[in-house]
Amino acid sequence: MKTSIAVVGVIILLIGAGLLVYGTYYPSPAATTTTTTTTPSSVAIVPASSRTVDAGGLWSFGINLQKGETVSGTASIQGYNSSAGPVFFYIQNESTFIYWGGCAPCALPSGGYTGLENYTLPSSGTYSFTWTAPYSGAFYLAFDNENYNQKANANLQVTGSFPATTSTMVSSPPSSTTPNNNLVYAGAIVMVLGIIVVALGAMMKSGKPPAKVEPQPGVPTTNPASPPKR
Amino acid sequence: MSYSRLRGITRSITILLVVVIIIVAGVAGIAFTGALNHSSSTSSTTTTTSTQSLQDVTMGFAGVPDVTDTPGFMLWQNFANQLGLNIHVQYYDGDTTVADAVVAGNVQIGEGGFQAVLAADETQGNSSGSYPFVVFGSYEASNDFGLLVSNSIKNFSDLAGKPVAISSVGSTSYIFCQLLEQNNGLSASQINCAPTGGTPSRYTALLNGKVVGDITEPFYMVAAVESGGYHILATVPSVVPNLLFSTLYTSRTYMTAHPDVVLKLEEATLLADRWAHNESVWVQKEQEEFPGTNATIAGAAWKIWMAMNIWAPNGGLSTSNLNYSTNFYLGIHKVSYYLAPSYWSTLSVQSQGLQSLGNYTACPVLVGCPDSSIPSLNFSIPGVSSAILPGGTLALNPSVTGWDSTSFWRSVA
Repeated sequence: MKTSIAVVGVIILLIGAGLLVYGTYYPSPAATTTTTTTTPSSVAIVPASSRTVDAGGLWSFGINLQKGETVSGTASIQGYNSSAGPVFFYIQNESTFIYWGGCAPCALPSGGYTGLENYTLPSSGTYSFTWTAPYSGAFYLAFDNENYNQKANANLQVTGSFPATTSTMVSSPPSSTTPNNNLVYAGAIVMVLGIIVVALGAMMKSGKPPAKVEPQPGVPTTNPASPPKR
Repeated sequence: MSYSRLRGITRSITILLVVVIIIVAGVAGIAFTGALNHSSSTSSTTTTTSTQSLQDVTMGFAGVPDVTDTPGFMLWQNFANQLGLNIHVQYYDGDTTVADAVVAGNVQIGEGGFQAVLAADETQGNSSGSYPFVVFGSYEASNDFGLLVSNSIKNFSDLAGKPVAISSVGSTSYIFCQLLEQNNGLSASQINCAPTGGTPSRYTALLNGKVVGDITEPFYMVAAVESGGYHILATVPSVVPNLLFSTLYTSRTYMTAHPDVVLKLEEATLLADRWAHNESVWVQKEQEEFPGTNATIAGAAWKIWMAMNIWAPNGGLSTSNLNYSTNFYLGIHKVSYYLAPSYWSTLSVQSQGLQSLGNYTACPVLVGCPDSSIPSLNFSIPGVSSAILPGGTLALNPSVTGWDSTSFWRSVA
């Protein structure tokens, strides 16, 4: 009896071990968590550019921006002579750009320059700016020298960047798997049970009846189950 | 309990414990190894920064865009990207400044009147046939200017001595003011092309009665006609229908180094021109860019542009119109000598673009795909088929025969 219980315990232990191993090596398809972090990166969205703009002339750059994209840069006129008249620097959307340029047809865009920029270069001739696109679309950075009565050595440097973002994507690609923890835990529990049963079996007294002892002459028969008769 | 029995029990327990320990240790080792093998697939963290996989190219446009530039916007904002290009656009004062930028290497591709790059070639080239700049595509295949006059002017004779608004002396509007009036019988002393400023200023001057005519483009023509007091006396395409308006060009060095970029840019241009042949999408874009303008007037102007083939969906370059245009600008002294187009232009890029895109067949080229919900307007315009505007006159190429550009320029000068 004792041996049988121990053997049962070992069998339970082996079953638990089998479950644990199976759960480890034949896991179920599992979700894959992908975390993508976009770090703020400054990208030159206008190649470093300089040129001599004629008196009364213009020079503009077109860029495509996404909503929330920030552009930073410097617009400057080298050797700026404020007595020759102001130089304006704009950040415009397409409608205002066309309107400013003397469009055909012309209709003042509703909202005018709302959310856009209209700078007058300071006496230093250099203006540094940081501006965030209020919506996605084409925008135009424009030097307006129409009131500047001499040639202007203009320079523009602009970088663009998005704020840092982190996105987490959980997907279950069929090729991706992970250990089946339920099976592993169940196997471990069954193994513990098996160990307990083995221990119980090993520690309990044997249930086997003692071997029958033939009475010997001169030796009183002893029967542990019943007291000796007097 | 006897000693031997106790020893037997102890031995059994020991054996069982050893078995259990071996099993547990084995399983634990196997499980640990498995866990290690799987740990890398449970989660991954990737840090990315935005990258640019498109080919960068810089491009200069002549002048701040107007309504005829809607395909130009589509070119650099949409179709170029679809073809793998990232166009960095710059807008310059005009044809000459763009050509200067190409010559200086500030931009790689130029858009503008080809006479400027032809002049640059003639200046910087040499007699051995090495000319550094080459026209490879058309941007606007025809000049869309016309002469808009008040109804008091019935014919060209009525214009004698009366002011017609132009931008400035020497400008394109000045050239065509001279051309249209001289070509219709007015002498130099009778021609009065009055510098008035940009397109809106000229239009305002006409409405205010300061001038009796205005060299302008179709949207203003239609708007004025619809107001009831004006009509169109002539258009440039009706007089010089083979005159190219604006082209795409680059340096021969860049074209040799980046033939793929040049080809993609030509293809993007063709796609943009084809896009413009759908009145519905064109008017929608026009309304976005010019909010508040009249869609019916825009649609009528679109029909005129279709008839003029300003946005040529199968390309606007041909040997004949390159030669014609060269002679025209030679005649008006915008270039100094005749240089055969083979030295400064190529048709191969346009041909390759058409080969890869196929010919445009979606709609008739000179009609486009009209939007039936946008009404047609009933007035006549020289150079525009009556199929486009009910009541219009079919007057393409009526008076170019016998036109002598040399004598024209002598009279202007």
